[in-house]
Amino acid sequence: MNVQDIARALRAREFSSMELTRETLDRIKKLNHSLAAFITVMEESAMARAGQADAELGRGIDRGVFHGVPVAVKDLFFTRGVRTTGGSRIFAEQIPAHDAAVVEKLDAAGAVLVGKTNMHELAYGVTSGNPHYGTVRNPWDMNRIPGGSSGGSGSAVAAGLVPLALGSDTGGSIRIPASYCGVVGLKPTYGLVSRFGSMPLSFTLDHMGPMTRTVRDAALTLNLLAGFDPRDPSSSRQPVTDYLPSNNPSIADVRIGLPENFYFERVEPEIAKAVKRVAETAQTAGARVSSVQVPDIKAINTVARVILLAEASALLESFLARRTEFGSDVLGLLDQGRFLPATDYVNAQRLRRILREEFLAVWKQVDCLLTPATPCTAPKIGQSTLEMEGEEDVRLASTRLVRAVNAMGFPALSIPCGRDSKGLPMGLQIIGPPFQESLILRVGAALEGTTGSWPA
Amino acid sequence: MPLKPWPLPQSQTNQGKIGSETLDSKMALQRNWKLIAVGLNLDVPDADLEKAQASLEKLEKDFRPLVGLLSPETEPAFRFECPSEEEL
Repeated sequence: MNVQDIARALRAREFSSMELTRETLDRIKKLNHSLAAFITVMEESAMARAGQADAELGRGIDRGVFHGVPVAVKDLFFTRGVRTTGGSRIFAEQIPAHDAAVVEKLDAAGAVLVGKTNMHELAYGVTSGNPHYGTVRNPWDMNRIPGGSSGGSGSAVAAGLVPLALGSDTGGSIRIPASYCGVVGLKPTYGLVSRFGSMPLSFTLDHMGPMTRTVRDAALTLNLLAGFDPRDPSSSRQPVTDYLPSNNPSIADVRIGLPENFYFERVEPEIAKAVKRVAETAQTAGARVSSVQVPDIKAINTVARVILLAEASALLESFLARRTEFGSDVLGLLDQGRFLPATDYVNAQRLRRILREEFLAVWKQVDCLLTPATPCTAPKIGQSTLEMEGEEDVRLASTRLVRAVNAMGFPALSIPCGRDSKGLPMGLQIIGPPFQESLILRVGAALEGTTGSWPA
Repeated sequence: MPLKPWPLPQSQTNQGKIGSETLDSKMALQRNWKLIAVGLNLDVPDADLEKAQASLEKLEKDFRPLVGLLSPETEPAFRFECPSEEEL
């Protein structure tokens, strides 16, 4: 069930929040052994919260659509009194004294937090093969990765453990697992959702957002999370709006761009075909689909990598003497960042400015871009390279189509677009101009029904 | 479909276009990562340094030519903010 269905059922007294939460916890207990989607399950506090939600609803106190709904958050969001590991051994005993801003908002909305999801160590990778808290598995094929770094959130939503899990996205960490797990993932505009209380990886690339089963649930979550927060230095004062698309959203006259360059190169043909088929559907629905030239995404990816390497290593430098407590892949990236001179970081930020100005010009031609989210479906666990017209590192391939958007700060939505011949979910990405979440969610909502539904 | 070069405002570069396809990768420096590690007093074991080296060299090859395109008036986006709808 999705959030909206649960909300309806709770109000119709088809079941109580306590019953639903009990069933959720039982299901997590049964499946987490194999999925490793959760690091911490909050059984006691979840049941208490569900009881409170039921009591409030009984008294006519209704906090909105999330009231009494079981949800999960990636284990890098601070939770008061509950350990927050960041998927790292270094922070295994970290017990925050306050909640992250996004957790505060879920709590105020009456959501029932059932646990903290597993992730790639320190959010610094795409496999979610966590050496400390277990290898997260993809419910569609347990021998495959769920993607990352928000792999536990993607796995938990795909397995139907929770209808909503929050993730973070620094170089695709919401959209990659959304694509590999066949769920919806939204990376909002930089600054729209507060980063306060979220363990950082890269100050200028980190974004927080929802992973859900439907676009509307993602929109409802954004309604809850968006807004200025003085505790986050990058928080935007841009006015928020109602992001929820109507039930039959129109995309007539929306100008959808299909990139001529980069985004359809070295992409599995089945995925390219699926995305283009969705574009045809959009055209049939009245959208104006056209080819468009986008800036040099490879250059943006390079700039984003320099920024990420430098910022992540600066952040974690004081822990780097404890080398044995890091997984080898994360340690390797942290080592790389220490070799970059300060001049490279400054110049990457200068290039970022130019490239952003170039990319902004695209929005004069089209309202949004439609691209594959990942060039492949979920790779196998332990697989380090892919054959993509030549051998390509799984990490670079997985991030190739999503990383640039983090450097630009644009909103991007990943939605499922059917399954490939292996039966694995394929994902498409809708990228929009800054603060145009309403538009990309509307387009996503209009298209999601046409892209293949959930299996029973 | 062949790539079309992306037009960059002339005021923003005096050497060419942003885009590694159009650039001379000879601009990449040959760096001695082991000496850099010693110079920076980085406690990175040789085996780990060897692992990092290939990625660093690839990044150097991709990044250095881009740096060569920057003109002096380009300021960094240290405080990164997206423009609002009105500014677009």
